Order: sequence, then C-alpha cells, then structure tokens
Amino acid sequence: MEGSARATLRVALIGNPNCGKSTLFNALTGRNQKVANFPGVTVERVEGTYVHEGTAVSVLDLPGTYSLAGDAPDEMIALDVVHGRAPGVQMPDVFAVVLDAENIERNLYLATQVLELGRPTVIVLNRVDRLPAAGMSVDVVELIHALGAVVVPTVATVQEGIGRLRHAIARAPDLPPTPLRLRRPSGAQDAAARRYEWIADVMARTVSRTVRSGPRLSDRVDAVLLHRVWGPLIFLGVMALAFQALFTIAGPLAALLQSALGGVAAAGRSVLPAGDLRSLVLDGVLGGVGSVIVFVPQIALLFLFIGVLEDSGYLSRAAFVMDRFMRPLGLHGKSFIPLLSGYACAVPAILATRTIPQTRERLATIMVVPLMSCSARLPVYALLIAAFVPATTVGGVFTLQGIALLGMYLLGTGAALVSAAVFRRTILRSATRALIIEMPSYAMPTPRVLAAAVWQRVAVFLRRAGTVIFAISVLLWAMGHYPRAAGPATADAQLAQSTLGRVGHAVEPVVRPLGLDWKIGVAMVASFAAREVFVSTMGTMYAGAENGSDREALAKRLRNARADGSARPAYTVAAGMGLLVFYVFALMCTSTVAVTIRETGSGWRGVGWAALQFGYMLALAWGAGFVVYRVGLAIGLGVAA
Amino acid sequence: MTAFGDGRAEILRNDTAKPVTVPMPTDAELGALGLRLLTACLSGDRATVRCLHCPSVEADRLRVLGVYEGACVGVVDRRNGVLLDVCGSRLALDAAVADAILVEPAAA
Repeated sequence: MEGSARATLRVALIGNPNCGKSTLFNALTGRNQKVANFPGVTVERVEGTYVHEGTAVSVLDLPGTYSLAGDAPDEMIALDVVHGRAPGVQMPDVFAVVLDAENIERNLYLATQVLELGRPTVIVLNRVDRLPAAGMSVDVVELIHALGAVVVPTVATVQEGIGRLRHAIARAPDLPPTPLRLRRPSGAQDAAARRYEWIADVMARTVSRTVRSGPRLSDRVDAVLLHRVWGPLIFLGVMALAFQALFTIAGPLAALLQSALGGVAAAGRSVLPAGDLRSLVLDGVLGGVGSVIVFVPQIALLFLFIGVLEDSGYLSRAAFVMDRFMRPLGLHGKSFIPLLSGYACAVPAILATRTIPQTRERLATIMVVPLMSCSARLPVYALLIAAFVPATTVGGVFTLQGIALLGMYLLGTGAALVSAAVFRRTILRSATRALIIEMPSYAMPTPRVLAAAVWQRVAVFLRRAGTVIFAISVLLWAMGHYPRAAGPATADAQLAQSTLGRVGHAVEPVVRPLGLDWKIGVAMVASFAAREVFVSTMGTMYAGAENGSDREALAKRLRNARADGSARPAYTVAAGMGLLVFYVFALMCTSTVAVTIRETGSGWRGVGWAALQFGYMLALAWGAGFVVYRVGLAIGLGVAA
Repeated sequence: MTAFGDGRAEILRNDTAKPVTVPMPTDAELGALGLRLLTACLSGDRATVRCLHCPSVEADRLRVLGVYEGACVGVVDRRNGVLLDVCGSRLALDAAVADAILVEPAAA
C-alpha cells in the first residue's frame, strides 16, 4: 500500500460464480446487493465499506470467475482488477477468495491461481453449514498448512464467521507473503491436469467424505427438472402459475393502495380550494404518479418470483432445459438467463449478457432482450387488459384477463426468439458455442436476502415514479391546461385546444391507422421516455371527478370514452388489442437505450446498435398493432368492450 | 453501483472459437483404443476423460471446470445432454460438446 491510500484497506472478493460471494459481501458491508444463484449475476463493479477497529475497509465484489483466464466479458472485469489493469481501480491490498465448501475441490482451482500471485490473501470457506448434509468434513487447520494462507470458515447467510473474517482481512497485509509454487507445465492441457492433481492431493489430506449409496436427492430432482419432456412442461407450468399469481395475489394489495390513494385524494379535495393548484396536485401529481404506484404489489411479486427462481438454483436448470429450444435460433442456454431477467427489467438483463463469451451471440441477445415484457409494461398491460378483456373465469382457476397477460408475455418472448434467429442468420451470423454450465446446489431462498433484493428493485421503480414520472406528470398537466380556452369550456374542449391536445392532433395521422385517437397519441408520445408513463398520462387526461390512480375507474373511462363529438366508442376492442400488442413490441425506455449504447461498444458503434434496436422494435410494434387491429375488425371486434 | 471505466471495448473481441480440423475417430477406431464418446456412457457410469475433441476455447473451459484429460468423471444423467459429476460438482453439457469428449470407461 502506498501513501495516503493506506488510510483505507482495499479488499477484493473473488470466487467462482455461485459461491455465495455476493451474500458474503452483504454480510461484510451491510449493503444490500443483488444476490442470486446463477453464474455471472454480479456483472457490475459493486463496492461497500465497513470499519474494523478504526480502519476503514473498502470491499469490492468482483464478478464470478472460474479461473484467471476467463474470456467472458464479466470474467475479464475480474481479471483486470486482479492484474491491476482495471481503469480507475487501484490494486486491492487483500484478496479474499471465496470457496463454496460443498464444491471446494473445483473452487480451489481459482484459489491456487490467486495464491500464486503472492498477494495478501484470505481464503473464505463459505457455506460450511452445508457440509454435514453433503456427507463432507474439512480439516481447516490442515487446509491452512496445505495452502499457506489463512482460511476462515463462514456461513454468510446467517453472518457466522464474519467477525473472524474481518479480523483476518485486517491482519493479512502484515503477514509475510507466501506465494504458492506449483510446477508449471507448458500447455493448457497439462497445466489444468497438474493443478487438479495438486488439488486432489490437498483434498486427500483435508476433506473426508462419507460414502453414499444411491443418487443424491438433488440428482433425483434434476432427473425430473432436466427431463427432455417434463423439464420444459414444468417450466411452462411454473411460469403460467406465476403470471396468474400476479393478478390474483397482487390484486387485493393493489386495491388497498388504490383505496389509500383515494383517501389522500379526498383529503386533498377537502383541504385545497378549487382551482389550478388542486387540479395540479390531484389530477396531475396524484393522478399521474399514483396510477403507476398502484402497480408496486405486482412488480414486487414479479421480482420475488424471479428471485426465488434464481436463489433456489432452478434458473440454471431452466437455462439448460431451454438450450435445446434456443440453439436452432442461434442462441444457447446462457442467453436464456438475460432473456428471463428481461421480464423484470431490460437494463440488468442487458448487463447480464456479459456472461455470454461469444460477441455475436451476445449482441443478438442484447438486441432482443427489450422484447421481453419488463415490469414497466405491466401497468400498461394491466390497464388495457382491464379495459378491453372481460374477467371471465376459464377452467375454474384462470381468467381471460390472466390468460391475456400470459399471452402478452408469450408474444414478447416469441418475438424475441424469432428476432434473435433473424439477427443470427443475417448481420450477426456465427457458429453457436457449446453450453457448458454448472448446476448450483439447490438451496432454500433466504427470506432476508430475497426481501432485500425485492426492495432494492421496488425502490428503483419508486424512485422513477418520484422523479421521471412525477416530472412528466406535472409537465403533461401543464400542457393539458394551457393555453386556457376562451370562456367556459368542458374538460374535453379544454384538453383539445391545449398544447397537449395540439401535440396529440399532430401525431393522430400516425396512430389513426391503429384505430386510436389523438388522446392515445399523446400518451404514446409521452411514454417514449418510459413506457409506464402511458398509464400516468391516461390517468392525468382521464382524471376528472374520479381518482386517477384507480385502475378500474380509468379502465372504465377508457371503455366508455366516446369519439369526439359522436356516440361511437373512442376505443374498440380491436383497437385496444392492437394497442396492447404495440406496447409488447415498442422500445420505450431511455434507460434501455443508454445501456445498449454502453454495452455494444460505446461511441457511434453503440449508437448505431441502439438506433437499430429502437427502429426495428418501433416498426414491429406499429406493424403488429396495425395487423391486430385490422384482423380484429374483420372478426367483429370493432365494438366497445 | 458504478461501471468499470472504458474497458468495454474488450468485450467485443471474443470470436475466437476455432474449428476442429482433425476428424473424429470412427466407432471402430475408438473401440480398438478402448474409448467411447461421453454420450455413449450410461447414467451411473464413471469414466476417465482421454480427449477433448472440440474447439480450443471450449476445451479450455472444460479443463478449468475439471473436465481435463485424465480426470475421472461420473455420468449422472444423459437423457438431455449430459449431466456430469465433476469433483463433486454438477456440470451440464449440451449434447454437441458431450459428443466431442472421448472417455475410457472405468472398470466396474
């Protein structure tokens, strides 16, 4: 350590994917970071700090890597730090190599490579609580002798051993360096064999295993979950139930929120005098922001569902099962995880593509990830489905609305897969790499860790609601109220001649072929920044006497809306279906555009990929919306819902 | 959460998978050597890896993960690709890469 940097001790956590490294990071620093049970989840540089005996310790959580020679983008980030090449990152003072105790033999491969560097290193033997069930025991003292490094057993999920680990990290720079010396054969083939032979020798001295009779329980579970027929069917069943749960479980919670917001609106009406201020607060802010906030229960459930899949170890199995279906499209199983993450949010999903080593496969995945229906689309789907799809029960368990929601997700998924196939057969053509994927041990998700992950994502959503959507809601309110109509005017007449109305009328020729009017045009234009703004805009425009945050009330107003100056319905079922499909395909999210630019090469190259992504999705959205509307008219859906 | 500097240019450098030019031995040739394809093993079999007949980038990945020449692996399941027991860990391989691994069955 040099100069003033000595004031803070810099520690880098390094380990195989899925060794519990991120949970350990949280246990050390108290910071909530996304923790998952899939290789490669830590795709960003994440730092946290703690103070130990008066010394500030900065902890860097590196992406998981199997060796110091990885070639996936996320692995290269870890390697750059280890070799002191990462821009803007100082060489860590201490490396804490995290081993999954249950998979110690394979995890030691990376540990021996780090120990060879001769830097202060602490070996963290994590998840030691799982050893008895695995029929294993580790002689920690003998392991310390064999590796020539401090070894600290921990159970990060329950904070066990964290105090000892902090102490060991603080002492590590003062211990004499004892680099591991393995004989170095010339070829990669011999090097791996020699290293594993050395590890096998260490294992023989330090690890004892009870002889098992018959297959492991996890193997018996895998025999079903990875089955050629049952595997995909189980996966589909899990997804169907999850999406139905989004409606049935989240519904009452959303109703509670709506009721609370209704109470706030009533209180506002009694306190604020009639006029522009009341209209701004109730129609603009509460109607706009509130209409998005009521979807928090559904979004929390969606993230909870994906978190359970990740942390239980099922997601890797799903990736393997889906590999068979992805390969004909030019993708492999590793692309499946970012695609599935895209159901939650395209931004982390695009970052998660860094686990895909092959450039063209990675680019193809990035290009189609935003077609997966993210949580921001959920408010749009929920509003339009509530407005245009009846809540008829089907088969005793499902409703038409639940099936429609599943249909939107399947449509987005199907479009993503087909688009990927097109990209991989045209501008991103290359051979598809083989799928070689570790199956993590099954684990019961930790409620505390899950809750932290869900809260982290919900907080991001709420922050967006409180900033971007708030600002747009206020702006839209102002645009809808000014300039004022001369003399007394109905709300519709005022809106029609306002700035918002003029913008809407300007874009009407583009949306008219989809059976939509200028009001929807306004909402569509406004939602180019963030698609959930569509709902808040509709909430602002249709607020009126009712509480704009009430989805049912808003849906009812859409159903009952009349075309300007006539008794015809403003929105037919066919137009509603077309609009739903438009939002399945359209890329309306500035964050996604920004991350695409960054992840596809920055500069003009990145801008080019992002422009292509935005353009093809918009064309697809308009085209599909038009086709659905015309087909809807042809089959008699040109009527009010 | 912050991203790492500008190292992303390197992300786009990895189209390095080279084709394997040496032809795969025939079944008769494999039999004469006492070898078989990994996909020809049955669930529950154990075998020693003898040759990784795949592009170097995949072979290196396999070696790092414990499937190196000389490694003893167990076949847990082979109905959908191959699920291997490697050093106590479970490693799933798609059928194509499993077909490129030549093994010597362990004596029963």
